[in-house]
This record gives sequence, structure tokens and C-alpha cells, in this order.
Amino acid sequence: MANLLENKERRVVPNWRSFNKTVQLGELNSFRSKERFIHNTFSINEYILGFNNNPTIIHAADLLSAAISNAEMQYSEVEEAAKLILYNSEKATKSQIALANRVLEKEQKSNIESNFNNIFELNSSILLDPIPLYDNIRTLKNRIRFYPNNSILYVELSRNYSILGDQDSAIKAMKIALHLAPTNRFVLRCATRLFVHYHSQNNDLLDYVHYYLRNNSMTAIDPWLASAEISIATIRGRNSRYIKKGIELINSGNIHPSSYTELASGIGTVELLNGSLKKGRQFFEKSLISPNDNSLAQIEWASSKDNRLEISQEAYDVNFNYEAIAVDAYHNENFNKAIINAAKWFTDQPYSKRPIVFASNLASTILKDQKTSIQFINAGLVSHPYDPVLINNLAYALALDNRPRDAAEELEKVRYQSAISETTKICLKATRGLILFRTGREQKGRDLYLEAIRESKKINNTTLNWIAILNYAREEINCNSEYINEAMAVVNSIPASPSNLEVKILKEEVLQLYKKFQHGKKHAKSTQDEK
Amino acid sequence: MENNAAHSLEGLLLKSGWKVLKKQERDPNQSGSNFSVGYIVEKNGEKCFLKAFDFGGFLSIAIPKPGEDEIDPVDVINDMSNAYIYERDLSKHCQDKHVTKVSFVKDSGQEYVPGHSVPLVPYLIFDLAEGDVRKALSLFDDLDYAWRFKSLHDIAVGIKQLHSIEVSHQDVKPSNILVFQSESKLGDLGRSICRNLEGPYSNRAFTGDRTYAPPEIWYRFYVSDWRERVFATDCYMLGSLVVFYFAGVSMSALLRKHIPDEFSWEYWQGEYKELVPYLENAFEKALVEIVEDIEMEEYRAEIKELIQYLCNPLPERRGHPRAIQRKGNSYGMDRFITIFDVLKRKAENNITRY
Repeated sequence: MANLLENKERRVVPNWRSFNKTVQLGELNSFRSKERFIHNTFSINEYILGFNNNPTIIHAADLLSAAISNAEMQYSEVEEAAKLILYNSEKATKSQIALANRVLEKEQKSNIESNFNNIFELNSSILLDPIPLYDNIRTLKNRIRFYPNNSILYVELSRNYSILGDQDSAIKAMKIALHLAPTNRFVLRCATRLFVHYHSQNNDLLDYVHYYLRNNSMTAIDPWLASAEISIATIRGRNSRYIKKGIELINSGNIHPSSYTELASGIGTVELLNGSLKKGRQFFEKSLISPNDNSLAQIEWASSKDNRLEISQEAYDVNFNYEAIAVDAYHNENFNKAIINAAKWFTDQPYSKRPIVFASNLASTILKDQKTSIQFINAGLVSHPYDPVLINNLAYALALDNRPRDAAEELEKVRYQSAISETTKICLKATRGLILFRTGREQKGRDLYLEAIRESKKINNTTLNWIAILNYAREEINCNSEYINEAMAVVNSIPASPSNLEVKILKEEVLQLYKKFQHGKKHAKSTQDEK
Repeated sequence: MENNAAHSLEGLLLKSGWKVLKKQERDPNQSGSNFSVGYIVEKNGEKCFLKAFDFGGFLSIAIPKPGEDEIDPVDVINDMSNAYIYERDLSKHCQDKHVTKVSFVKDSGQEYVPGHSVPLVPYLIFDLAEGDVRKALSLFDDLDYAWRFKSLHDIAVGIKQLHSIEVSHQDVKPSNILVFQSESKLGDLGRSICRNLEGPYSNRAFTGDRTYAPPEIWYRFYVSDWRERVFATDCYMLGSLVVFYFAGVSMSALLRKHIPDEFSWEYWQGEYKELVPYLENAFEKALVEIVEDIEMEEYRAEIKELIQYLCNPLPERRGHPRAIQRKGNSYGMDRFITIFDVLKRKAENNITRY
């Protein structure tokens, strides 16, 4: 059976996008809401006169330099100078042409949103094509050789490595970026995301990035950094000294709400987990004044703990709000919308496993669209090549697609020496059971399913237990076994309308299948009687 | 303000014996053109350039003194006189200290031109240059590299000479690079600041033209140490001049082009240091663009390195790495002078070879 997207305690860990996207989202803007400086204008008359008296390329370029530097582009002479350069482009330098194009706004602006809108447009290569990533890495390495002090390039390099699942190279590049720019918001937030992504009991990545965040004087005044520190501290089970400072920042009136949305959301989460629902709600409300995709996804998660936090995601026009929309659409049973947004969520954060687990599970279990599920998982396996959860989900989808031998081959790739959660082990066992059922070895499959059912009960995971039962019952019906009635008796013990959507839909499916089976049986009996 | 006394000198024979031949069009080839009017003058068969201080120019930028509602013309006359005296004295100070690569004041005086509300015109006379470097660069599209390196070498020597007597030029830009027959010289000391000479701009953090100013000036980040601040500024401006010689644009314009609007000097409300990684990112992109403009591949690496050292967006990382490593003046020009000299010789050899 497929691994569920576990409703773990979600933290407001910064999302990690390319530098250009992050800039466009405004997450690197100055957090100060009050204007500290007034921009003085400077006259460029001297340059205009110079160009009028000497209409040469060099004087035109000097005028453009002055106009661009001083943001004084409104003069007709500036436009004339730009046109003169473009008209004589064979004599002009590339830099002069570039400035002329900028003045005449010929530079193309990229669309930062993903552009597919329905499920039929999806395929693995759209979701993730690794070839451009290798090209990116090559280009970034060349640029680093050219100018080794650019910390942003190391962050971008790390991101590309992480998408390709090269953990060591990703961490190494990020550590260099941290060394070059140890106090910078972009570098620190990306490092936070990466190190949370790769942290395990076998490494000290969280301690490493936490050290940088805690010992940075900017963390006390920059809400984006305070938010990152709080997320790391809570993941490490520590009290954050920045919660109090964060509350002061939010209440200071000096910070724009869009800059403290993640901070408020993070503090709201801490309060919620500490049982202070009322306080938690107050902070979540503040996070909604000017939310971003992360704070909206957080409130979507928080609403499962406190239903008074439920909001309509549609009411917020926020870029890249794919995670929250996908989860919200799922709960509203708008599955097509959910899967499209999961695809966008993944293309936005291709190093992340969560959108893949979410989408593959939705496609396999609810939409019965195994091909889509397989496409998602193959894309996810690029960054998580040996991930047991993804391998399990792939094998499950392949088996349901009646390709049990391919499924068995995939399962061979699981490395059992790595740390695998109990839940995943149970899923792997059940998936083996499914493969055995589908290859005609019902008894062995039955044994494994029953083991999985017993073990899920043992760890008190009711949802997993029910899902295992339902998957097992379906296979018994499919193979017309003698244990159908016993299996259905257990299925009937599952509540009529379970809160978990997947359980509900799976149960409906099994009941339907059973009904058909009984109908078929009756029909066969009556045909026999007639004979 | 074209009817000011400073605009009415054409045809006059000045008390100092100079005959005013022709008024120059307001042209940035003549330095400080917002506050002065340029003329060609002649004496004993020698033609020179006269810079007449324009009361109208000073009045146009004057603001009332604190506590006063209106501009007092006497204050403006005072400002104009101070600017005149300062440039004249600074020029003399530099000349006395054996500075050679600067266009000095050859003569000076004040002329009384009746019929104007402010009839007194202070003026300075300089050697007449062939033009500024833009003229040279526009006349010869394929101006040889040897000439460019020689010119940059001269300017670096000029900056070094000024720094050695605690003077910072502050306004090193193409229109202030005056080209004479065999050499280039720094023009317009009017915006320079000298540690030992009180001047009208002594208390300002930056006195030159912002178009060629380093990014920290744009973002109002001022290094507190006088020497570090002003020498770092000259260092950047020399680098920007290198960019202009090979890419034909200013470094700051290229930087601005690669800086996202959110971080631009018009909008940014945060600290300068928060921005440095983003400025370095823009700087790296600008460097890539500049290098593509250096047609002769064999010079690319060295020119790129020069610009990288001279124009680093963070003042403390600016300068030659070896100078930064050693305690003392990080912005020392010696190493750059040597590099320009080596490049000049290399380019001259190339010309000979072909």
C-alpha cells in the first residue's frame, strides 16, 4: 500500500527557491516599514548637454550611464541616446547595447509561475528534467571559477545538487556560501531549508545552521531570520530565545506585515503545540495580514489541529501558494485541482518529497490513475533515489497497474540498512503482499498483509491499519478467494464515515467491488440454476 | 542665467593680460560646467582654457541658510569665492608638492564686468587640452590598447600623487580626464578634498558626481575613517574608468542594471551590509559583460582582475589583494600603476610585432 503523507508537526521552515524567484517574491526586501532615507534626485543636465553637443556613441553611453545610475530616464535625450546606440550597434559595445535595451525596456521579463493547468499536460520531463540541471551546474561552476566570492552562486549550486539528490555536494556548496556570507538572509534561510532536509540522527546539520542563526546579530532584528531560527530551535526541541524578540518585532509597528508573516506563523505554531490555542490563533491572524505561501500552508496544516483556523485559500492571492491549495483542494475533494497544484508545488520545490508523496498517493489510491502516480514518483526519485517511501509508492502504483514484476524489481532497490520508519516498513510489507497477490501467490501475499495489519495495530496507527485492511480485502475480492467474507467482516468494523478521506474512499471502493462481486456471484448462481 | 557676468567675457582683454577669444558651448569637456563658463583665451601666442565662476550656477543650487526663509545673495557670492579660492589654493598646494598628472591652474584673477547685478567674475586659467577622453575614444573607434593603458597609467599615477599629499580627487570620470598631446591628466580639482586644506566640501562624505560614485555612496554607507573612505572612492572611480575605456559605460550603470529593483539605491531602506552578497552577485554579472567587451582576448584576464580589485562593492575588499593583506593603505595605487605599465608595454610590443 502507498505511504501516506503524514500529518506531522509542520514547521515554518523557509521555502527554498532560486535567487531570482526569491527576489521576485519580495522575501529579500528590506523588512523596515518606515522610510529611513529619502531618495535625492541628481541632475543629469551636464550629460544631456554633452550628448546634444556631441551626438556620438560614447557620449550617448555616458548619458545612459548617468540616466540609469540616477534613475532619471524620463528625458527624450535619453531615449534618443539609446536609439543612437542601437542604430549603430555594429560600432557599440555589448554593454552599451545592453544599457540601451534597458532604457527602451526591451529586456524580457520572465513569468515566475508554473504554467500548466491540467492533468493531461503533466509528464515526467515537465515535472523534472535532470538534463538542464547538469547544464546549470556546469554554468554555475564556470561562474564560480570566474568570480569565487559570490555566495549566491554557491547557494544556487547547492540547490541544483539537492534536486539531483547529491547530498554531499549540496551540503559542501552551502557551507561555502555560509562561510562567504554568514549573516545574509538569503544564504541563511536556504541553508536552513537544506539542512532540515538532510538532517538525521547521523549528522549535526541542524546544530551547524542553528549556530549561524543564533550567533547572528541580524536574527534579533530581521523577522525572516528570527522565523528560521525558531523553526530550527523547535525541530531540535529547544526553546528559542528569539520568540520573545519576535513578538516584540511583530508588535513594534516598524516591520511590514509581509515581512513578519512567517515569524507570526512560526510563533503561532509554537503556541498551538504548547496547547495555547487562543494565543496561537492571535499569531496566525497576524500572519494572515499579508501572508505568503509558507504561512498559508502552515495555517492549512494548523487548521487540522484547531478547526477555528480554517480559512478559504481562494481568498488569498499569493504567488506559489501551491501546497496550501493542493491540501485544501484535497480536503474539499477537488482532486484534479489538488493534483495539478501538487505538480506546481513540486516544480516550485523539486528537492522536496512531500509534494510527491502527496500526489502519488492521491493518484494511486483515490484517482486510480497509476500512470500519473508513476510519473510523479519517477520525478521525485531524481532527488531521493533510494528513498524507501517513494520506492514503496512506485511499487504499489506499478502493482495496481498490473505490472507486479516491475513492482517487485523496484522493491529490490530499497536499502534496508538505512533508517526506515516503522510505518514505511509496514507499507513495504503490505506492498509485497499486493505484488504476491497479483502474481498468483495469494497465500504468501495474504500472510504478509495480515502481518502488516497486525503490526499497524501494534503501533496504534489506526489509519494505516484500516488502509491495510481495505487493500487486503480488495485483493481477496479480486482473486475471488475463500476469505472474502472474513475480510469483509473486518472491513465492516471500520466506521461508516471515517474522518480520513483516503480511508473513506478506499472503503467505498471495496464495498462497491464487494457488491459487484456478490452481484456476479448471484448472477452466476441463477445462470447455473436456470441450466 | 545666461546674462550673468561670467557669460559676458567674450572679446574682453582681462587685467591679467589674457584676451578672451571664444566662449565654449556648455560642454562637460570643460570641468565643473554647472558652476562655471568656459572660454578660450590667449596671451603671448599661447592659447589656454579659462574657467569663469558663474554666480548664476551657484545661485541655482543654493538653499537658504538654517533659520532663514530666503537665499541671501551675499552667502552665494561667499560660496562662489570660497570655491574659487579653494581650487586655486589646492592647485598650488599640489603643484608645490610635485604632483604632475593633474591639470593645474596656470593663472587666476577676478574681473569686474559692469552692467550686472554681480559684476565680479573670479576665473582660473588652465592649459588647453585637446579634449576629454570621450573625445579621444569617439574619434578613434579602434583606439589602440597601448594608448588606453598609457592613459590609465597616467591617471593612476595622478591619483597616487594626490593620495600621497592627502588629497582625494573624488570626481574621476571620463569628462575629467583631459587628453594632452602625449599624456592624460586629471582635470577639475574643484571637487577634490584635502585633509590639510579647509574647503567648501570638506565636511561632505562625497563631493563628486554621483554617476561615477561607488555603490556605498549611493546607499549612504560612509566609512568613518577619512582616508579609507575617500581613497576607496578614488579606487572605485579608477576601476569605473577602466570599464569606460573598454566597455564604454560606467561601472555603476552596469551594476544598477544587474541589481534587482528591490535592492536598488532608490528603494532600499536597509543596511548596506545586508546587501553586499546581492551586490557581489550583480558585480559578477557585470564583470562577465565587461569581459565580453574586451576584444583582445589576451588582455581579458588582467583587465577583469583590475576591475575586480578596484571596483569591489564592499570598500574593505577593494584594492589590490596584497595591499589588503598587508597593514597600511589597502587602496595603494603602486601595484595598479605597475600593472598598467606592464599592460601598456605588452600592447606596445604587440603593435611593433604586427
